Amino acid sequence: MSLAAATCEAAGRAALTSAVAVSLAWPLRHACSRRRRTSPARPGLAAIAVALTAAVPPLAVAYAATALAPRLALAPSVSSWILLALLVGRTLPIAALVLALLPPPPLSGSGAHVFALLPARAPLRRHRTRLRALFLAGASGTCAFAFAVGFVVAFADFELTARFGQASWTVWLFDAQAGGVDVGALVQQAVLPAALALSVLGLAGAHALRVGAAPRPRAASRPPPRSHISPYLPLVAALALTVVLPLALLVRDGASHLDDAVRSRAARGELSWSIGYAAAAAALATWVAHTLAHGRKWAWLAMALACVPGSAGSLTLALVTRHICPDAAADTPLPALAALTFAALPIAVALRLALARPRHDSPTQTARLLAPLDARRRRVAAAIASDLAGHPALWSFAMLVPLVLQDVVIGAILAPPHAAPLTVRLHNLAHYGHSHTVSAQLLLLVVTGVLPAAVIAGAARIPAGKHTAG
Amino acid sequence: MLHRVDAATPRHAASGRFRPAVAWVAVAVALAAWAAFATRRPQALVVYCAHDIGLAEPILDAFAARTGIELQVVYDTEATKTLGLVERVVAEQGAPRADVLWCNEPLGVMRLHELGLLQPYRGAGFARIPDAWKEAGAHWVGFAARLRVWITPADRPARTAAELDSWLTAQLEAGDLARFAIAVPLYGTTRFHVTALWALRGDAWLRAWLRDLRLRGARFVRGNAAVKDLVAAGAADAGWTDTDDAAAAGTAAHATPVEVDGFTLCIPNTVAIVRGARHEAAARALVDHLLSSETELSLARGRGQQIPLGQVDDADMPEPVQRLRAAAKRALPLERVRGAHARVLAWLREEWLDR
Repeated sequence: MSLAAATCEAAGRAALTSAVAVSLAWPLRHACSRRRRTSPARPGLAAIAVALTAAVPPLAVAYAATALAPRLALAPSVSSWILLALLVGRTLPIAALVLALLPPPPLSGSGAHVFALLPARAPLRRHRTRLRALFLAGASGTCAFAFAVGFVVAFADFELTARFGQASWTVWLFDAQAGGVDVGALVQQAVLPAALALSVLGLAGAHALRVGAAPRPRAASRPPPRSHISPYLPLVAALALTVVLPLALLVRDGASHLDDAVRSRAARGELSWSIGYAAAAAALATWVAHTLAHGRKWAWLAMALACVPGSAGSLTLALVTRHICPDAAADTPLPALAALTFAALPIAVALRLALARPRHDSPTQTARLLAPLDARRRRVAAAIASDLAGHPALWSFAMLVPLVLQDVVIGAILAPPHAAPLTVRLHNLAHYGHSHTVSAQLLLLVVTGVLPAAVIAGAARIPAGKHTAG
Repeated sequence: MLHRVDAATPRHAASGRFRPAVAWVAVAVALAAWAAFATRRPQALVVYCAHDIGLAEPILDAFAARTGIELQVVYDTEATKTLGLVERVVAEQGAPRADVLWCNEPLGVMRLHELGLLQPYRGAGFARIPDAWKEAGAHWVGFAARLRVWITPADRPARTAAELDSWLTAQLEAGDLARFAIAVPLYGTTRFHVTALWALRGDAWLRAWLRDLRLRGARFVRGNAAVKDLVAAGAADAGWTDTDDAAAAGTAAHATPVEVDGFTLCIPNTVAIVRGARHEAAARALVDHLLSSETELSLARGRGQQIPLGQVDDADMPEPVQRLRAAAKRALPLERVRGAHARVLAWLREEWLDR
């Protein structure tokens, strides 16, 4: 199969995956942010779902899928559907989070309905076109951005796609490098899928920014449907498929063997390097994304350019980095760290756009109005505003850590001999199928990935209490 | 007039505290400190190892414990196979980092030898291994081999290689190979398998045959372990894999050595010292350790059931390995595939990536 055909197949699958995920996540957009009315940027249920989904590596998902239903997973007629279901399961929480975090449309759905009920000769009718455009633009911006993020995540998948024997540009590139195609040719070949991913993300991001920057009336958001369970069902199913089942298998097989997981000195060292790479790359990617977003005139261009290397995929990125890396740096972890940071940047930029967009809800407006004439109250108002903003950089860091922690290709190609991450060992051990040691080490990796989110979620409650008390 | 406190971005929230220049300097200092701290320890022997960690690590740990030589081992992933490390040695040829390369098949070291990236060593281990399994100039040596095998479900009677060949031919003629599994031949031991077919039956035969397999729906999966999984799960009736994968299937499958024109296909591990190795004495000690009878017996007794190529007492080996060793005596000489592997790889690349 040619690269173009493999890219088309991957793009079709990613588009279908993301469309299904956004459709299923749309009814959840309020339910997933319970605290939206008081703290719009706090991600709530969707963030927990994303953190859990992101914390379970695709290797663990495939490991569980083939362990629990080997015949089903291996039958050619159903493996493509299983792959699609798993990809939707991994994408749905991300779509729900993006939808929950983005501001509501300038005109709410109920507002649009009330407007439609107005008598034909009412004076407000003269603004009909303008209001309808505001509603549609806001909704389309929100959906388009969630779709783009889901598309990029599904489009870049390698582990699950390869495991289920389906075609994708990532698999094609892997085959090409294994077959000895040189780096220059590989980079040329990777331009097509990278451009596609970047275009989708860029167009959606630009659209969302444009809509977000437009003047808008104060929004009236629909209260969360507390009495209905049905909106939660897709999320529950997704979590069961991609989090609960794999974790249950890992806990069953690995929990009592955690001491085996770190018995070898080499494995302990590799785990510490994995944590080091993940923390450093996640922090750098978050910081770069937030720094670039500060530029007023060319922020969008800077962010788009920062996404280019990562959009080419981890394999291409690793090969190019190895090609251009000076010999003096090759014995250090810096090339791997640089590649991991670039690989994380598209998601970091997406998170920056999603988490720190301008907000116009009433608590934030109140905080603005509280800005007083004296310095003491100005500091209090700034602290309240910061709390309302929800520490987007910290959440971005927490979500990037498990993603970086799961990387295999960059670590395998770029990490120096003394600083290899644990994932390389895990993939090697998984060669012989299920074992208690693999389960225990995967479990350890999952727990490590969840820790930052758990710590931040816990710490986020403290300042809120302090302000209330003050 | 009210002062504006914009919660839109953290920049405003943290107004007065954000200092980009200071942050950049702090990050640069932290990275430089990390890089300095984490630079490789110069005394350690660097080993690139494409063998499975679970089998290789105890052997390397035993060497380190016995000699006191510190090792830094880079393992390959299941995804990148031997080629990942071979390509890494090629990429690093200007400033080699690896001292010793332990591959799980011979085509990788053949390529590196052709590129002049290996250096010879004739030690005790080299002398112990028969000529058929080593390069005459001592640039690489084979040891502890695997056989290519047919793997079939255990709930059906075991069949001979001839019966399985007939079954495959019949399925091919019927146009239905959906229940035959083979790994993608671009890499791994399946590449060795198709290279052997090329060497024995010619390129025209192989081109037509492999194209027929694809057209008639044979299942090309991403590794020998996946072939084993398919057969063990009952999703395929037969497949080609290696003896270590077949052994991992346990009682769920039968393994029958593949035979091509009277030859079995025996694929040794290989070890070589990289040209420009920085720890030559330690590298030689490790090569001798790997080529020792202790190492070969250890790999034979392990779950991979690898076949000793040097002299060992049959009584010291498990019974299944004794049978495999008998089959390995009819193996295709490695010399037969040496001239073909580059052309096969070029053709496979064209066949697999461009169509």
